[in-house]
Amino acid sequence: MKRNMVVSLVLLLALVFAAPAFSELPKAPVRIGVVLPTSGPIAYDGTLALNGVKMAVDEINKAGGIAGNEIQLFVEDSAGIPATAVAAMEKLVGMEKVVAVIGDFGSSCTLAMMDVAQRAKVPLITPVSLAPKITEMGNIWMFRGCDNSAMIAKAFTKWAVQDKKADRWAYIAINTDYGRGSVDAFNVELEKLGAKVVFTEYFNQGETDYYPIVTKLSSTDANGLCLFGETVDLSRVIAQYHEMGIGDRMLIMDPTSGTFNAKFLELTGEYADGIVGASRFVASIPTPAAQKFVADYRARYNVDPEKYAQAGYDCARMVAIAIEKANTLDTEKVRENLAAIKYEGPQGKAHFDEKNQLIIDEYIIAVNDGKFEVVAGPISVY
Amino acid sequence: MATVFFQQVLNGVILGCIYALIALGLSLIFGILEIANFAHGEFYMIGAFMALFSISYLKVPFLVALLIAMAGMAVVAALIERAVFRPIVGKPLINSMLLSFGLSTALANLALYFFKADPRKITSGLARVRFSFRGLHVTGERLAILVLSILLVLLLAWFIQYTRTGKSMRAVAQDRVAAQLAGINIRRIYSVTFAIGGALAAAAGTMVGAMFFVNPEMGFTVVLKSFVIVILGGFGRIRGVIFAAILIGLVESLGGGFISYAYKDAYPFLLLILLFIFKPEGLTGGKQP
Repeated sequence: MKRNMVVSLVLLLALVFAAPAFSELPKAPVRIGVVLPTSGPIAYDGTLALNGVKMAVDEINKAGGIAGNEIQLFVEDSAGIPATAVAAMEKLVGMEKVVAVIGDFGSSCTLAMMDVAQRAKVPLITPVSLAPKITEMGNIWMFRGCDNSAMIAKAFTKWAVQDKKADRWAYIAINTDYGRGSVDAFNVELEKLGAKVVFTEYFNQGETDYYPIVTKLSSTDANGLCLFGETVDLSRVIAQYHEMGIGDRMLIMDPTSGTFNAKFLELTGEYADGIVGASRFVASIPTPAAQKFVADYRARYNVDPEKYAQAGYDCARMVAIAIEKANTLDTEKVRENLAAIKYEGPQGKAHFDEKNQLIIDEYIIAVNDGKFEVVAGPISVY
Repeated sequence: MATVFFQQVLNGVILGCIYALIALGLSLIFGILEIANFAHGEFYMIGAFMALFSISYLKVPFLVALLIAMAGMAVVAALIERAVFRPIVGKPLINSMLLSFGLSTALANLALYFFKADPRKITSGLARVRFSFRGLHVTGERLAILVLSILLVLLLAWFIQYTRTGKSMRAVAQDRVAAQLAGINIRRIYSVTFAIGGALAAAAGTMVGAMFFVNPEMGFTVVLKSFVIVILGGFGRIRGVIFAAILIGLVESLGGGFISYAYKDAYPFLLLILLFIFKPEGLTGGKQP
């Protein structure tokens, strides 16, 4: 209640002082678009990000909205298909006239939507997509509201090589842009640290029999096994790795934390124990801000938030703050304010670099007895 | 290095034994009904789900679940033969191809609707039992699968060679009209053939469900591989099919282990193309047995 009063007071002050100088926000709902996969194979993960967005918007609206204007969300389903994502983006900017768009999940969808954002001059912020090139292409309308694989590599390799003495790495990675891109990003960091890569194999999504790989792996002298992939595939890799009887030889690493979820634990049981990885957010981060977010989220959705929900929440909040600061629906002003934002969310402090890449801290996470524990961090990667 | 090679060979043989079970049913159905059954992968998938549900709801042990799945799938396959394939026996091959392809899509999507895409695992209780012999590793589960599939293949060979029904099946495969004239009830043979094919596929599905996963899409890739095996081994030839199945298992395992794992699924098809170019009469020769 107290917080609400403070917020309203600030809003009132902002109105009184700032309003006459610029074109005022019209007294109408602020329209924000969302494109996420809520059907198809990644519907579960997409919904998590959407949950975060919805929670942030409801909180902002309850606290008086943006300068007294309620936020209105326009949610479109991309189903994880780039063509559908582009159509959704066109609809949002063309028909719904939104001020900013949050989305999409998969890198290929986001890459496809970027051009529309640039042409329509509407800021687009992705809460999930990891592919480094999204923010490397010089599209000033594109923002990444989460970490990327290069940042994860920086934070994680240092810890694994220096603290955990894993200096001979083996990779088992999914045969996609994400998998191959991540391996490249990690190799750059490993070289700097003087660690060796002794084994690299890629698998196709949906593969079941990993015996050829783990058999080959058993003949190497690797002391760290690094995995890039999704829950189901990696659960098979882990199980077959243990079946091969080499379970205690390597530190198992899942730096992009694709396995840090309940389904993975269900599928692998005690084989999950000891897996380490990096993540910008898990529910066990002990800071008061994180714990308040976890408690609010749990009260609303009856489950602990993970990094997708956190990123959805952060992106929605950052967009709202940028619009409020811009104090106009002029998308150019909104974009400028978003790029210059100094944000503090449940995860910690965050800001965008000159390429619109969010700079946030990383945490090192380990699975212990079926729970995700923070073992190190926050690690600054800036 | 030698250990790794033999480990890959062992993995390949286990894989090949499972392929043999699926391909044998497919080959029998083709040999006797002259139907290319693209829905065979779905028999395998439904069989796996039967075993999964037997274990999770009836709490039966793995072996009993395997038998339930085989019996259940035998009945379902016989019913499908009666309702769907019987009317087109003797018609051109394209009819059965289109029909079974449609059936495959329908069954897979029904399974997706009822069972959901969520992958699940059959628990045999043997996955965590490990045996090591001179550096070779095998889990109790895989050993059981190896033994079971060899037993099933032997049982099938014995059945076809020595029982009255088996002899009738061979007769129908050789000459349908002559068999009919000799007093063989060919409709019963059709049902029996589908039942056997279904049961073998269910057994394979259950084993794969224990080793890997059970999900509604598991049938798609396996049916294509099985066709490769049947073509390599020769339609209707038991020995040739077994040989080809193990060959494919080895090619996948050794190719995946020593060349590149990412292209593992391409090797069997590459082999097939080479066969068509250099030995178009099939691996085991030209004439019908």
